[in-house]
Amino acid sequence: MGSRIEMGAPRAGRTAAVRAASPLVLLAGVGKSYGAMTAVEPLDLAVGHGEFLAILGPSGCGKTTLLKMIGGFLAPSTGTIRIGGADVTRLGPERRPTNMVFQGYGLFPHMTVAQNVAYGLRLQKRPAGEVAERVAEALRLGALEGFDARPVTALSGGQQQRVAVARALVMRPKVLLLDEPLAALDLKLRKAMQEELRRIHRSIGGTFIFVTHDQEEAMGLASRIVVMERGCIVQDGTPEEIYAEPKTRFVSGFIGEANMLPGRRERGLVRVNGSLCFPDPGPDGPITLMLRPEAARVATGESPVVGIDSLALRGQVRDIVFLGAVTRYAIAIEGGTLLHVTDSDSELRRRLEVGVPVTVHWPQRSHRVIAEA
Amino acid sequence: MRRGGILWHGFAGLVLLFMLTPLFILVLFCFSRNALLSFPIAGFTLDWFRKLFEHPQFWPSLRNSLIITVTVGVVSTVAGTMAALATARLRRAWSISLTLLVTLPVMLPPLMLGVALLSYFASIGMRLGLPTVIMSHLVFTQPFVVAIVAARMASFDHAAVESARDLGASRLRAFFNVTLPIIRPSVIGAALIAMALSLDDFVVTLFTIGGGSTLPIFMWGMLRKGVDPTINVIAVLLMLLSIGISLVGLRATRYRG
Repeated sequence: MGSRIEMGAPRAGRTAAVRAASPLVLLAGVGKSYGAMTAVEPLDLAVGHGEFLAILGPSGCGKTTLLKMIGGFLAPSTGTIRIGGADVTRLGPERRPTNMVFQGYGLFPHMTVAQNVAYGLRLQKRPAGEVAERVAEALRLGALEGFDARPVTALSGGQQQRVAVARALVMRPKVLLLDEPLAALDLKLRKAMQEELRRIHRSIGGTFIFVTHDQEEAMGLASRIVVMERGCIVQDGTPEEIYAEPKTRFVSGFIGEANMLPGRRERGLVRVNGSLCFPDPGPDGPITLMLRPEAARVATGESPVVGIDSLALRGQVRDIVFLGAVTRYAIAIEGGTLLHVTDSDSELRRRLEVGVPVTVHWPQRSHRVIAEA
Repeated sequence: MRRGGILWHGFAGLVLLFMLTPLFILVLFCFSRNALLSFPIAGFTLDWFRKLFEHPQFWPSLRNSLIITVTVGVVSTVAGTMAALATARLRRAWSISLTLLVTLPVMLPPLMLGVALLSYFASIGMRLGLPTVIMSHLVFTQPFVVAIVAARMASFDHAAVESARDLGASRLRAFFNVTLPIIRPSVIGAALIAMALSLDDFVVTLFTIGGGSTLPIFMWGMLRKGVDPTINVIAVLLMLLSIGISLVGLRATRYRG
């Protein structure tokens, strides 16, 4: 059951090929600096039809600046922005085929829900019948039926958020921009709104770009994630790619939990933590070994059975935290570094207690060796 | 009720009485037959109203006061709101310094302001009259408007205005559709304060009006000839005017949100 609201562009596949062939949004060398301070280094970015793109990064990384440049609220210092083939670099927000959902929503507090949603259409001087029809559709899409006449100030945070989304979508933008859309909501609502946003994106098949500092939110919503650090794009890929193959130490630490072990590579041989040594081709120099907590296993006993291509480190259990579905073990390995390992095996949990000597092991393919710059 | 409670309530009552008695007596003497402001009251009369309304200077003074008050109210509100909106866009340090600069005239004693304005108008050869009074009043009313509207803008959600722009509104349209309705109560409050200050002003007006007269100046002229209850009648009229303005304002600012 699809909604009749459609975004300005036809539906399109999400494959990389389509993305490259006709990007909907194309940023070329776009950067922003304030005097000597650079908020966004000149960067290129192409966003295809139908993508749900997350721009992810810590606060101050330039992600909101980038979004505001796409929306026309900030003029880039360098580069050009094209949307649907047209150069919009010098156009104000009112003349771009984009609409934005602001952090804090920016609702009009002196208007009702329906008046808020109808505002943009009224400005376009659409006939009253069309306005009423499109507003009703947008409210239905936002699950806001029956709220038409309510003042927006009387709504809960989640409802206000849906009004903001409906108010933007009623304009049928080619691209919907969302600035930290879920940041103001509490945890439970955030989960519910994630589902809402995914449902809305599915039902209209539009192109969404959103900014967030919350990696879980990015993983949960986006079909593609762009990770930013200090004004630069450090990685661009699907959530799976970024989680499994983070390109830098920063990305691996930012996306999901990760154990980081410092080491060195010399002539194709990586040494970590004194005792660990394995072949891994690449340039010589310092490296970081990145290991996800769920990728490692814990074994007890003097000579545990470890796979042929596995690596193992001896250690001692320091802390056990039961998290429900999994249990998290903090294990001090030789040298004192703490490794975190998560495991769902309840039998293992019964056997382990703080102080027990254990072996942490993992297959070689499940860690990543990241060369340090 | 506890003893302490009764004492406190009694004290509060006395304070109220002390503050309101002059107003009450003011109104009372408007209708008294006594030519002097003294007790006991000899009887009820409306003669003082008739006497005031027949006074050749009363109507021109009222007219001047209304022209000045309304003009000052409108101009200082428009200009002050624009100034406050401009400072709201600046960085914090800049906006504070600018607001301080704009509000500087308020810190001058009215007497100094009056003398300064008089010599200024004399030096540029401008004839004294209602225009000079209006300009002078703007000097000390506009800072209040700037301060009040700027305080409102400090907690203003700029995302609402940006949303309006995003939905297709020009800057001007976003201002009238979004900014103004949201800050309207503060703007109206600021206008009322500006009007009350202007209506009430005596010192600055005296220096800058030249030959004419406003209600406060008319009152002052009468006081010099001797106190009779007509003074009370003017005072009561001024009071009613102020209360009227405030009531209109309160109704207009009723914020549904």
